[in-house]
Amino acid sequence: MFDFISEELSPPTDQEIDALGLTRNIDEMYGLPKSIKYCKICVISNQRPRITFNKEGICSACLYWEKKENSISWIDREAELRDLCDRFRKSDGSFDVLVPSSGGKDSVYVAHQLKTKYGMHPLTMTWSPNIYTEIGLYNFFAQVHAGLDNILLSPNALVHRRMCRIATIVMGDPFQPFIYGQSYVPLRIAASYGIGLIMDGENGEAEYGGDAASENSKGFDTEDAEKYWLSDFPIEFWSEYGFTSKDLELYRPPTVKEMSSSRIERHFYSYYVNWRPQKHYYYAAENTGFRPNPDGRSQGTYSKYASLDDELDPYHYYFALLKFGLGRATSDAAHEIREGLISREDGVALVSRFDAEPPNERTRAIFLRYTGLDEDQLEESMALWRNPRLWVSKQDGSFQLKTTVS
Amino acid sequence: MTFRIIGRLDVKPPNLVKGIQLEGFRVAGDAKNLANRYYDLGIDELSYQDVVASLYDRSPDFSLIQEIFTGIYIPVTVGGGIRTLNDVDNVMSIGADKICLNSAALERPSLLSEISGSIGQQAVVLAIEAKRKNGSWVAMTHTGRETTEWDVAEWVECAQSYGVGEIVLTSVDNDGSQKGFDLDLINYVSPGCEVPLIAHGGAGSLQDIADAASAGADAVMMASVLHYSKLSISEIKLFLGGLKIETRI
Repeated sequence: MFDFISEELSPPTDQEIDALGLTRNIDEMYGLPKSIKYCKICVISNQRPRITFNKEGICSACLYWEKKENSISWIDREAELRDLCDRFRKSDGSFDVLVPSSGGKDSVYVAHQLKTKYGMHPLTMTWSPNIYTEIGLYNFFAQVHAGLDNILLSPNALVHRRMCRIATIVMGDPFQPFIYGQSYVPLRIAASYGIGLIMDGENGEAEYGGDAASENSKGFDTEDAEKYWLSDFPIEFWSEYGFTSKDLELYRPPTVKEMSSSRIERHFYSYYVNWRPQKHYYYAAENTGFRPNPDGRSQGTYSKYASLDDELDPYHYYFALLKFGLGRATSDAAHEIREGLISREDGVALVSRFDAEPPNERTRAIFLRYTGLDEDQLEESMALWRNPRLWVSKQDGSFQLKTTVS
Repeated sequence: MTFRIIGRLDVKPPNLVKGIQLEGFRVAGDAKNLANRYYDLGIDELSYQDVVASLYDRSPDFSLIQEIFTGIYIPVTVGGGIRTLNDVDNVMSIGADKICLNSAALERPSLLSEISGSIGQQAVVLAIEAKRKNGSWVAMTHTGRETTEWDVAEWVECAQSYGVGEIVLTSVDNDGSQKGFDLDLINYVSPGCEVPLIAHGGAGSLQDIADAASAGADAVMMASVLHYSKLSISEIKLFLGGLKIETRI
């Protein structure tokens, strides 16, 4: 599918090469604790940024999930959702809720439920993946064919590819440019269409472990998005790398003027309905034609049903593995343990088998072509972001995590 | 030979689960209760499949299998995580009639002849997880989590040369959908299949079963359509009888 990339990207500039040579203090950047601890219930470690552990050694996400099972009245929360929908529902045929949606199981579940169960008129909005996989594109269209209106926004690939490369070198995360689309573009679209309600899927900080203070939050505003999703790098950073306001037009947050004329609220569906990712897989498979990965398990994990739409995904997870020692299998196993689908013992076995799997040859070739990095520069980027506290080099030149979950 | 109706029990020990397209661990009932119920209601055979043993690199759960099938006197096939002759011995000694393998057979096809030599070819069931790809079907392993380069028809030919008693042909695409078997798949495999062919994946209606028979299946294996009580065993057998497809009474 990726063979349509016809343009060879101009190689890294001197400024980017210089950035490759800088040392990074990953621990300081992310506030990582020096000694590694693993949750007693799931397989996540305290190296996930912002996650906290209680004195029994249980992570904040597991504690939150325990609360979800035992202390939250979902009947009351659903009543709140009905009230929210009643407040925003329109009867003149216009869209009344914007659902940022990749076409993946979670967002399709949210959009489909809002439409069929709560009588809303959703507009789904998709921010294009870096490069669509075949299955990603299939599932994207499946949502449309399931009866959902959609806008697909695709940034200028020549701009986006360069941003992706710079994000890899300077931030250690090829996905930051993608995340801008998730954070800011929904606000712009909601404002343009006069939609007062944006419904995101889950509050990642609460569901997967992050800032525990956000657990009871119904939603975020733009200031919070910058703190949680953009790792302290605001969009102004890009002008330093020669990106003009034309280049950044699709990414930028709304202006004060654009926001002032529209009252927009942004909520998490996971506040109102008990968030259970595998349940959403079944829902999407049974109701909207969603299909899992046709090639079996995704790279670096055992699962087939999550995060399927971007050829570059394996590098997003791999850089997280380099920085935090936590890969994709860890993420999948952690939430499946919390969802009661697998045991911790199962999770440990899966993590030890799949977590450290590097992206395969095909994905590597795509990533190099997409970003315009050469092999050496990619190696240097990975070396730059490999947390020396967590990794040790072996005699054959390869690297191994010093500690893994047990 | 009668057309067999086989109940499939996917187990993630200790739970009976049911996925869609070989993904998902949603609990679908109690394995022992359902095994007993199907036995009482006239199912011809039962097939136990440990859906995580290969993935977790674990042995089958022998005590669980024994517990589930105590008091059940129809043929029982056990599969999932069977890798060695020792595994085969253990499974047969707790009372299984047939063993089923997939991942281990694709890794080393000669294992099929070793096992056939030990317990008899008729007791060796080859499971194939067939996934539509590029106009044909490829064989997958590890409950649809790893893919191979094997074209399914070619693998059938190869495996038969090593010795198999019957083949369970699972459609990964249709699994759990209740929208019908992959008839194109059955049509593709059936001509080259010299042993009984069991269609699996997608059963939703009585007509689906008849269609599978017309396409060349000698038996059908079903899970969700039975677990969720969409069809009953007696109505299936009555329906097939009406079409002059002979089943075990």
